[in-house]
Amino acid sequence: MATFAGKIAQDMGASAARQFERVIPSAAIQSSTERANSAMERYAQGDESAFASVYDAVAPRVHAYLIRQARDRAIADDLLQQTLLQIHRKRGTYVAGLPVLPWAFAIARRLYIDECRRRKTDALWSARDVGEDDQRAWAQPDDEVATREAARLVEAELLRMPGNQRVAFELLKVDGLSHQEAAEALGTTVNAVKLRAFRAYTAIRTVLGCPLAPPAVGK
Amino acid sequence: MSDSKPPASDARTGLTDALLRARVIERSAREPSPTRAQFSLQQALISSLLVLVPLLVFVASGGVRVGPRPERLLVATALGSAILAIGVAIVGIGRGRSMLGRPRALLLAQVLLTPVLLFGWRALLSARYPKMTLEWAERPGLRCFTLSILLACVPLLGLLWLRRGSDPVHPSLTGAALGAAAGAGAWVLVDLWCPVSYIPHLLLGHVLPLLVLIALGALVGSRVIAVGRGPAAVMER
Repeated sequence: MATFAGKIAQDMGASAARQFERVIPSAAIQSSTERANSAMERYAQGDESAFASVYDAVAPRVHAYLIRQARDRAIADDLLQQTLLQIHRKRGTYVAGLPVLPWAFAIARRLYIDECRRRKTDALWSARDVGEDDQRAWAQPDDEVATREAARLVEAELLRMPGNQRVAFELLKVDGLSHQEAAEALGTTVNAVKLRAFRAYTAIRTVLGCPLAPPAVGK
Repeated sequence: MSDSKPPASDARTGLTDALLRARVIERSAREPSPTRAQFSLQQALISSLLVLVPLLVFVASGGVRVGPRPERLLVATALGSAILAIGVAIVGIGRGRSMLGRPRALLLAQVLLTPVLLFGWRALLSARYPKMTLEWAERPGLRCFTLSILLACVPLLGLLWLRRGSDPVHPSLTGAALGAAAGAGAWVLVDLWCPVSYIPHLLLGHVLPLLVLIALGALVGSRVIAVGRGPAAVMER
């Protein structure tokens, strides 16, 4: 059960950082920084194929950062896309030799804050200090303890919630069924499955302290 | 619920990463963006206009007007203002050795010191010459105010346009610094045009428009210079 709860906790994003975090040695950081700068320089000069290299050098780390911040894979994906497109739009302004990664992180952070504001979440997020965020972006957090704690919380919450909610949630989030498939399996309507899963999702997010509102289940 | 199964979530994550990568690259290919050479050319053309337009406005307004000022005062005032304006422009318009622009403290110092230094230079230098700071009842400063705004508005808007969507850190402050740079440039021309150094006149006709331009730059900059989602930047799912 603990493993199962841990899996849910990860899936929910409480320890998404662990799932996507890449522990990068300092030599690799140096190498990826140089690769990013060199690729960006080629891209600024007009080598269209260099954008793929820019993406490969920048995206993994920015993505990990965004996942840690947003704790939601879809939001992180969206913000990563916007970040890379911003870099693409402003490639002409890139000055040779200047570091690309801080630029990318700053854009990502700005877009993330805008996203939080757009979603009208509490001001606590948007007021986070830049330095703190940047340090967190470069840090290698020890997620093991957090994962265990999250798993324990998820387990307790799953046991506490009504059975129909738990089952709907597990079918959707753990087994990966579609709403239609889950509805058929449970012998109920799609809307009922969505509602049950939404309630379960909200309850788990609440105990995990995830700041973003749960995604609309109806999508 | 055992862990003996292959890590399906990892496989899904890898697939999602690949799809995301392909999507971003495909979108970037669909959306043209200027290369450095194209951007530099664009920047040079616009910058030429941003210099030319105020000069034309200045000439149309009558150009240099010596008035009762000694020529030495005129030259010294304009020269000092020009040196200050160049420094202000270098700090305010240049980005330094970072893609994120100048440090916040430097921009803040530029914004705060520009009006003080320009006003101080003009007032102190004029005070050294007799009768140069006397009141001109018929020149409260409204014409200088208008001329300052006219001279600086095109450069300010042009600078804001050139920096649009580029500052993820402090767009308001960058906008204010651009306002100060545009205002300082206008100050030099107004210095050549206006012989009045009466302190209230300087405050109303010369300093106030500079402050207005700084405020305008900050206001517009927070919207125009800030990095944000593009109009067509909605995630395709």
